[in-house]
Amino acid sequence: MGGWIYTIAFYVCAALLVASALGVLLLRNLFHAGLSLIAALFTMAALFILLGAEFVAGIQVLIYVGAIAVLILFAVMLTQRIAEEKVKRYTRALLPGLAVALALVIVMILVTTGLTGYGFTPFATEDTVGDIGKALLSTYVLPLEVISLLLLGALVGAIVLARKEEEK
Amino acid sequence: MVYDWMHLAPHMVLAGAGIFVITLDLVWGKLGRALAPWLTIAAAAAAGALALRAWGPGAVSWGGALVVDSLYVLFGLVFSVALILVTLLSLRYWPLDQERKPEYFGLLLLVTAAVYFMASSLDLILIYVAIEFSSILSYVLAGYLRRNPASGEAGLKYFLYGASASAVMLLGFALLYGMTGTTNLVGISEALPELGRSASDVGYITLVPGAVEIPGNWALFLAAGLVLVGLGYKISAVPFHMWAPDAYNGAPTPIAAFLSVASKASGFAVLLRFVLVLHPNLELVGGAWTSYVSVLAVLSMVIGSLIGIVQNDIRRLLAYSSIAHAGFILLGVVADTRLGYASVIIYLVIYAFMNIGAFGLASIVGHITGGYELSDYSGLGRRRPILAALLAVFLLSLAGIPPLAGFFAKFYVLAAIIQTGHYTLAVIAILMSVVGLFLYARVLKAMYFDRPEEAVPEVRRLSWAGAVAMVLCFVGTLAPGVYPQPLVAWAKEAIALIL
Repeated sequence: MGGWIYTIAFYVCAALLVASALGVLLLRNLFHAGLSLIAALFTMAALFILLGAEFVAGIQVLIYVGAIAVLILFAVMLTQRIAEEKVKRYTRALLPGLAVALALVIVMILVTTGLTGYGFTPFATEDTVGDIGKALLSTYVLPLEVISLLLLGALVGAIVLARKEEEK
Repeated sequence: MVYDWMHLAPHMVLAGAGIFVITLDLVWGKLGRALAPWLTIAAAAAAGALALRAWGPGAVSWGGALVVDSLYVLFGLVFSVALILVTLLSLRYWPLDQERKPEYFGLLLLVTAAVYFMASSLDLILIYVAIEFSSILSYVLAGYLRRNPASGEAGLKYFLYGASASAVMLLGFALLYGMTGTTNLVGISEALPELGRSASDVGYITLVPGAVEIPGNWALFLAAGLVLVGLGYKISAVPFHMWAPDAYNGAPTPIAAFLSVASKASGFAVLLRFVLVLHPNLELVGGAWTSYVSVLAVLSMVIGSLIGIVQNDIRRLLAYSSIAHAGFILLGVVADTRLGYASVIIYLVIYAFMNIGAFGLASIVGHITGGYELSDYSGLGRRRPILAALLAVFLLSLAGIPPLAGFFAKFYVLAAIIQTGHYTLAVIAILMSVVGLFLYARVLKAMYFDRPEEAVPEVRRLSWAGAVAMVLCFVGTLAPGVYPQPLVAWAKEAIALIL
């Protein structure tokens, strides 16, 4: 890919991402904020594609856009009158929140500048899906199995906590 | 690549038993309810026994993700002991009688499998998955009492705090991977010196420009700090402790006992794994990495002990005491010697018995009287002399009074830091022990010197299972105090085998 096309694409995506993330925070209608979240997650996927991680981009769309964000929208729409409800944009936690966000930004800047000069170059690979599949079933087969246990346990836990009261 | 199933045997026994207990309840409810606790105890004992076979300098398998060594064995035994004691305590704890029991024990078994994984993983991905595994199920268990709003609050607070802490830790893991190109701790350790050389131009960490500069690698310094946030939350060290008092207060009290022992120990297991594997290159984090840990240790000891004094709920009081103990245990890491690391293990083994003992009695007294306030303990010495005496033993041991095991726990930690010349830390530790004594003495005073303003009614009977658990804790608190040599020799050998 041509260097300048890549750069332009990156900055367009980054600007869209920041704008839609601000939309999630600042839009007063919960439904609109949810839509903005979907836009943010989509541009995030575009950034992954620019990094050469098509598989992660696909998963990002499938899981975050397809499942989580849509679930949030459904929850908003199915809850009575919550879509019309105007939410407060500013809370008492505004200042501490800003302080934490600022600290995070500083850490991120320090990290990215601190990382230059180290020899870790991203390896170009043609077949990311195949490589991930092989890694998941060889080096990372144990974490993969543990995740399945985690999901089972989380599922049981969620059902136990959310079940209806039993007739005694 | 080696895929050794025997290395996974304890994990599989625990997870398999957990799934079996949940399934049996679906297929044959009556049998499931009757068998669940006994299967739990049997699986915990079997897992501990199977783990013992791994005693040795360490065998790596499963693509370098799993390691079984002497350190893992000792942590595994602590987890198994905690599971057995907590199961006995949960058998007749009345708030749980209104909830579904088989799933409760099934989830407890799965959490224990998760902490076994935490103690035996050598790969950032497995470490993260195992930490999430144990945390997510712990949130469910903390919020298990659906009729009690405090329990839901405990689960929610624990969840919000844990999710943030683990996100921060994940950022640290990502940094480590970004710098070294591998998720394996051994690989990271091998890649670190490379990093140190190529970073010669940015080889100083500038905390205050022109004034505070420490030799080290900025990115690595940050990565270590971010990882420490996640582990600090798991071991409930100040300033990552805020969840603990609320979670222990609202959770079913046996679960509070489990969280304060097994969960904390699992955090220390991962911390020790990081420190011991990366040890040859740890100075790259910043010359005096132990001094950062010592800040956490001092803050935990001071804040845990001081805030604990003003608590009137025994569960909150014990929560702050467990925060202070996390600080004491961290001192062993600060010493950064074989004796120091051995003292961490000695402390955790002894702490498991005395702390489950104390939480267990809070649970038993809560069961009998229905109350957890200190006022519910007034006159307990006269009403229930044996229970009061047991609680006194556990509290005095937590305070570190000589013939009891808690004294030796503190003794070895202090010996380790005095040996390395950390005299100021030793003085702070001793001062905070005295403050801690005052904290525990408030309970003793209530039991033996206060007269109840009105009679405290006993609404339920003492269960034999709880009594058995307390006797086991009593033995575990007394035996290492009278005859500490085997435990000490064992812990020292465990560290000598791998460091």
